Amino acid sequence: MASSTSGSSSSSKVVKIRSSDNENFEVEEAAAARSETIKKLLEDVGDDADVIPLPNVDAKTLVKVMEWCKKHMDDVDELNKEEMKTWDAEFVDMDQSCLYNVLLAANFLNIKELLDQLTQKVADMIKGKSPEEIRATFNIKNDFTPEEEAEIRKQNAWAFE
Amino acid sequence: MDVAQVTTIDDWQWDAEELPEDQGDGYGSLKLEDLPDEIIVHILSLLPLKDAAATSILSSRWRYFWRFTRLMSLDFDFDFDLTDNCCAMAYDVRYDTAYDLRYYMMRDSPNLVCLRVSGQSLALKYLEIIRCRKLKSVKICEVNIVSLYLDGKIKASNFILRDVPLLVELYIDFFQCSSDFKRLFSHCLSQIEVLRMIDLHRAPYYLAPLMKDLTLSYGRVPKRPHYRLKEVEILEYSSKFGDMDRVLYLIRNTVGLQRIVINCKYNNPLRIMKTKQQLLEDEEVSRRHAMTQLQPQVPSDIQFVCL
Repeated sequence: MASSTSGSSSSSKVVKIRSSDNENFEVEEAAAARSETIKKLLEDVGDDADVIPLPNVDAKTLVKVMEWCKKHMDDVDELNKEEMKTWDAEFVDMDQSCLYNVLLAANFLNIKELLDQLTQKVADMIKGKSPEEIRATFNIKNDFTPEEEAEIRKQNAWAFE
Repeated sequence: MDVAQVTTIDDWQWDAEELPEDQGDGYGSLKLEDLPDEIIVHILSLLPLKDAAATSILSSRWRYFWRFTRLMSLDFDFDFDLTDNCCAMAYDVRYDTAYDLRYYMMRDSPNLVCLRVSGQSLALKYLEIIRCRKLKSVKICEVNIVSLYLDGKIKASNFILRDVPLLVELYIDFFQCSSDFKRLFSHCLSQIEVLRMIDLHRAPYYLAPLMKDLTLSYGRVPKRPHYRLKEVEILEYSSKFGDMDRVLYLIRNTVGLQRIVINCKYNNPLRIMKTKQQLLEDEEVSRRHAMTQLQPQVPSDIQFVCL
């Protein structure tokens, strides 16, 4: 009857997870279970799980990921869709290093929707840029000789028109 | 030991800013390059084909990533003119590249209006266009495609097929086509080896004169009969409507024909005016007609199959 203030509906069962740098966190199970990896671990260990260790994710990244999971814990109704979109757009608007950390974590934790949002973000950063701009943006070192480069341009000429 | 205190995510966040930089290595310096290959390929899969392919020039590591993209949106090379107030609908278009874009299928792209495929440098060999309801015009030229499958409502006048020297398989299924398709065939018919088409007159309300047009289109060629057409399947063959004469005409004008398939099954929704039982009876009548009337007139060196 008395619903919790945060707007999350049902039982707010809490699970503990531990980052690679040994920070322990309490998160609502519903949020943590957005991660297929955690969900599976929870199913495997059952109720007597103490702390779920996540050796591939550091604390800062984990917080970021869980922030997303909390937001996406409940199904979004039509009314909130727009708001959620804005929130998501702001969420993925982070510096590159952070972005890749969260991306790797989302990959490891198997959170498909988050992974999709992040990869889309990177794709948007590439889109429409010239090769030179892409190299500059992402700090990619061109290791081709001018001859090799010319050869590739010729091969895929249609892509460079 | 390290049963560190337990924090909730919300609490932790506020101190988070203290941690990042002094962790030094790793955190501050992660680059796109540090992501594993499969994630980079995933990212490239989200790009238009042209953009993805252009990344081949970035560095040696990037050279072939784009070729591994499986499902990719595209908007350039196949050059969509999106008219009719459709914008950015290229996202609906997906293709599956087994290798080097050799195989391209466009299916269920409701907003695609105009498709142009051109460019000798394309590795494209097989093109399928299926259920693109709004597709109004298709132009395929200067491409080394081998096989083309087209199913849609495209008017022949909006269909351009030109400079496709390697095209040998043509599957045409546009029974709702409302115009003749002489032009469609005019440039490439002599090189086709496998032709599969819906028997067009089957939609009498839409295109009564159509088969005549097709016949006329053949009518032009007797001086140079089709040497390369090897296999023909006639779909929805019927004992009525003069189908037999058309088939015989085709046979007479197709020197290299090796196999002809007469398919009497109805697929056409226009048959709806009849009950299923009637349809089956019709099919049976057509089948018997094909076996008794048509087959005896087919030269023995042509394999005759009736379905």
